[in-house]
Formats: sequence, structure tokens, C-alpha cells
Amino acid sequence: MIMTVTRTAILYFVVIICMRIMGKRQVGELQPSELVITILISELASIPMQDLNRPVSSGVIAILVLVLLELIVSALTLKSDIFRKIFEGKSAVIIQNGVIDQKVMKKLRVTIDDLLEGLRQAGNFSIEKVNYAVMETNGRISVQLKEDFDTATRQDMNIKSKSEGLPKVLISDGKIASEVFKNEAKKQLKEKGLKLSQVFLMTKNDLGEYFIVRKEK
Amino acid sequence: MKRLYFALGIFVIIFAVIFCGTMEIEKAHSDMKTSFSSLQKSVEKGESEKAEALAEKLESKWVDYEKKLSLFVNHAEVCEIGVAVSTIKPLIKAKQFGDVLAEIKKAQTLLCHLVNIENIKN
Repeated sequence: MIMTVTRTAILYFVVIICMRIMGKRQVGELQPSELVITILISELASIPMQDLNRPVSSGVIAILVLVLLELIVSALTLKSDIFRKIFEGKSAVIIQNGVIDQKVMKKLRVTIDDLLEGLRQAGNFSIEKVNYAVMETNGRISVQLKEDFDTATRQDMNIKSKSEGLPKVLISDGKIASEVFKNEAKKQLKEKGLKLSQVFLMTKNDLGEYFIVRKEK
Repeated sequence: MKRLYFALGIFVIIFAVIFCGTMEIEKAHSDMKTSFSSLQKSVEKGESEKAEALAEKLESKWVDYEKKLSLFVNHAEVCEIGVAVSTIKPLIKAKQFGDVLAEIKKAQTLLCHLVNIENIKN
């Protein structure tokens, strides 16, 4: 039992480190090669965890070889178009100028239900509003709406605005986030008549606006 | 660039583990092979006292190798050789020399199998 716990702990840390080395990606955003590597790593890690007859090194080495291959493949795909096409595939245009390309759909083995689902997930419930739909290499569908249905931007409406920038956290869970903001945060608390312990979150944007969330009692 | 260093680091780790594993297996194989053949000779000559001493030495030697080899190869295969080696001494004491030779042959075959698993030519 102790060996199982030890092996599991070793493999857990090895897998975590390997996944960190491979980079940040959500499961839904994985490229085909990354998905294969992820599945294989989980399989390889589970075998020496359960089978005490196998040395931990056999699992660790197999995982490391996969990570090494993944790093090599990602470096090659970064440098070469050919490798990128081989390992990641190519995106395909399913709807072009509002017309569904049924040949592409057949080639990709995408049903009309899959397409409608993909469009809905992209926030579009009416196919007639879609100008372009592209099936990305990770299986997601990107959508461009027809001009008439596209959201108007501030630029379209000639509205000038200042950027709020990235809000800075001054107080987080009753504690001052950084010594740099200490005086500023205290001044704001005094103005609002609040104690530090009463504040759950205080942020400040580039326009000098403060946002305060009080702690629940 | 950071990933390149990680890749190099991983490559070094893989190479080091494979090199250490292969060297350890080769060392155990050649060392045990010599011990097995000298034991076999004394058993065939009927020198039971000498054979007993050699069997004891062989057993303690294998215990050391077993610990190291378990890091690199399947424990079941290493354990099987250990069982064969540990039965040699009691069989010599019981003067069952035919069985002793059979156990030596079994252990040698299992050891060769262990080497062959890690041999890239297979």
C-alpha cells in the first residue's frame, strides 16, 4: 500500500511537471497531436501506479519520451509549414459567402447537426446570418456574421472612449494586495468609511475609478 | 528557448536512465554468468562444500543486483531469478545435484531473457 501511495505521488508530480512543460491549453483547444499525447500520458502514468511489478522508471521514461517528442514536434510545427499541416492539419471553410460547402462537410464528416451545434456554440442560432464559418484544427467552428447582422463597434458609431485598462487589485479578501497600494487603499477606505477587514475586493482602473465588493457577514 | 533547455534536460535524463539500466543489466549478467559457471563446475565435480559456499555467495550477490535491477526491469522477472537462486543452496545440502544443475540452467536462461528484453537488436 505504501508503495502504491509513493508511486502515485511520484507519477503525479512527473505528469504535472510534464504538462506544465508542454504548455497551457484547455482540453477543448488541444491540437490532435497534443490530445494523443495527453491520453497516452494518462494511460502510461496509471499502469505503474497500479501494477507494482513494473518499475516506476518504465512509466516515467515513457512519459518523458512522449514529452520530448511533443517538444520536438511543436518546435518543428513552429518552424515548418509542412510539419504544421502534418501534425495539426488545416482549417477548412464550411460556409463561404453565406453558402454551405457540402463537399467540405462530407470530407470533414460533419453533419448539418454538428454544424448547427458548432454555430450555436459560437453564439449564432441562425445559419442565414453567417457569412463565413471555419472549422479550426482543434474542431471548433469560428464564425463571421454577414455585415447586416454584425455588431456595430464604437468606431462604426464614431463614439470616442478611453480605455479602462487592466484593473489593479488593491485589496483582496481583506488584505492589501501589495505594499505599493497601501496608502492609496487606506485613503479610499477612509473616504468610504470602511475597515480593511470589511472589504472583499477593491480594484482600480486606469481612469482612476474604484470598484469595491464588501465582505459578506 | 526555455523549451529547448527542457527538451535537452529530458533527453539527458532519458539517456542517463537507459545507459545506467543497460550497464547494470550487463554487469549483473556477466558477473552472475561467471558465478553460475564456477558453481556448475563444482557441482559437476561433486564438491558439495565448495558448491555450498559458492551458492551462498551467489545468493548474496543476487540480492544486491535484485535491488538495482528492480529499478529498471519488471520485478516479476527479477523475482523469478531470485527464487531459482535461493533454491540452489538447500538442494546442494540435500545432495540433489541434478536439481541444482536444473535450477542453475533455469536462472541462467531467465537472466539471458532479461538481457534480451533490453537488447535493441530484438
